[in-house]
Amino acid sequence: MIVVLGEGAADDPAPALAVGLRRLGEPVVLGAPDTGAPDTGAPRADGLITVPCAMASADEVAQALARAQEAAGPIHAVVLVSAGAVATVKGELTALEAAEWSERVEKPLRRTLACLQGSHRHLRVHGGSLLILLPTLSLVGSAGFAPWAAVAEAQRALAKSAARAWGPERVTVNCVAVSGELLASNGAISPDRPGLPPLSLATRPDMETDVAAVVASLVTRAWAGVTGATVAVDGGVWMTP
Amino acid sequence: MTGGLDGRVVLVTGGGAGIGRALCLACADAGAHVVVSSPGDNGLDTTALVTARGGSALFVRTDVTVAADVEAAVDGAVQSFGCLDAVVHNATSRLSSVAEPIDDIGDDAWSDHLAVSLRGAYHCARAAQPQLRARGGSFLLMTSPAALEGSVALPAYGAVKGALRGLAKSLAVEWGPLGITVNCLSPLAQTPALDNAYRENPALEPRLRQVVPLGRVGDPERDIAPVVVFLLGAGARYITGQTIVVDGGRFTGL
Repeated sequence: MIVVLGEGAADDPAPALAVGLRRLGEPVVLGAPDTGAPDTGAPRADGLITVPCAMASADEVAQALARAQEAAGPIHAVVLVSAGAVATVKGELTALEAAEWSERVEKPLRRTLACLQGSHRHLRVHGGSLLILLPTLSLVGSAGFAPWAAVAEAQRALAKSAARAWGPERVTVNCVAVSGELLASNGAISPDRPGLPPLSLATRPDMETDVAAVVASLVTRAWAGVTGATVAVDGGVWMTP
Repeated sequence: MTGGLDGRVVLVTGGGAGIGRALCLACADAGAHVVVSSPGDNGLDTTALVTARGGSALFVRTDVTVAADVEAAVDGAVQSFGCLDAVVHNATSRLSSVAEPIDDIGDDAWSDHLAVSLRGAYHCARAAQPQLRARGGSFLLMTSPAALEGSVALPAYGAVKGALRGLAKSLAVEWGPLGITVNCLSPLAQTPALDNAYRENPALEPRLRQVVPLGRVGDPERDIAPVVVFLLGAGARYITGQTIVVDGGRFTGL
């Protein structure tokens, strides 16, 4: 079973990923601060099973995963979809007030650490996969999104450290980089750099079909030998080294 | 003076010891006026070393986690030397070399790493950008091999140093039209922090020598600082958004 952890806002991209995974036949539970479910324990309108999870601490994440396990069986993968309306607001760094910096950089990074620590407590028992979805703009930079890029590059570095530490327990930790548009679903503003090279594929990958398919594959045994890596699912825009 | 930075004004955070001190000395040797930013009295020692070698330096006691302190350091540069051409954000948490596995990272340590490395960079960027913009200046963030490759022993340090790479790439795009270059430098250097790590883990020193193709850990002043001097000089004005790895060939993955 795969647990998808998201920010829980109305425009959160995590449910789209969870729906896509479920369509592929994966048992999925969605964890978020606000799950969108009518009542605790009841499925959402789109049929997703949910557990509340604010990612405030490793303990809280571990407890949420325990509830997910009770609801849907053993967990073999946890996917963190790190985004949300606050993180993805565009603006010049010099105009950013201290409180906004804390909200957009330090708070998401605390959540990331809590997610990794809490998830590891479950996955280390039988092994498994941790994935972090982040924007490609962290790989290449984008004006107006320095805080988001900082968060994402910190997550990539943390994923590598976790991959090294937890590999002996057969826990893999990888990142999936997607167009920021898929994560900043609040946005009328594109987070990508103006003048981008054209897509190498005919269409930009979407979350529910294309990204979900890659995630579903990355958490299988076929990828047991891959850890600490970042896989870009961006239609071949950047082709970073 | 060897030139290269003649008359330029360079602010170095964490300038009281280690790589930061080496950067201050090298920049002054290259002709720069150096603002030594440090929270402790060791900044005075660095300033004394610079002046003893015939260089120009100003010490400003600075806690980079406090915005007003960083603003005062920038003001000090402008009042004393008339402008500011470059900032090197080198300061890191005092816990940087303290081994702490990822499962054990607590709130206090995590917050300290975030505050000094990352919030400190934000404070430097906000305070210095108007001055750098006026001079076509440089903003350099010191990152780490722990950010590029991950680290079992220092995951929190690696995370914030990774964050600086994200910050640098996006600021390079954001500030390019303003004429400001933004880069990162990842050094492998013999520092007091690495000395501590050797004491905690005696196997580390021979292992490092083995994995570095050039067969040694870099000297801060002879191996790292000259690259920083170059990056802050006119010869590097078309380099931005990059992570320059100065590690004897240890990391070849870019």
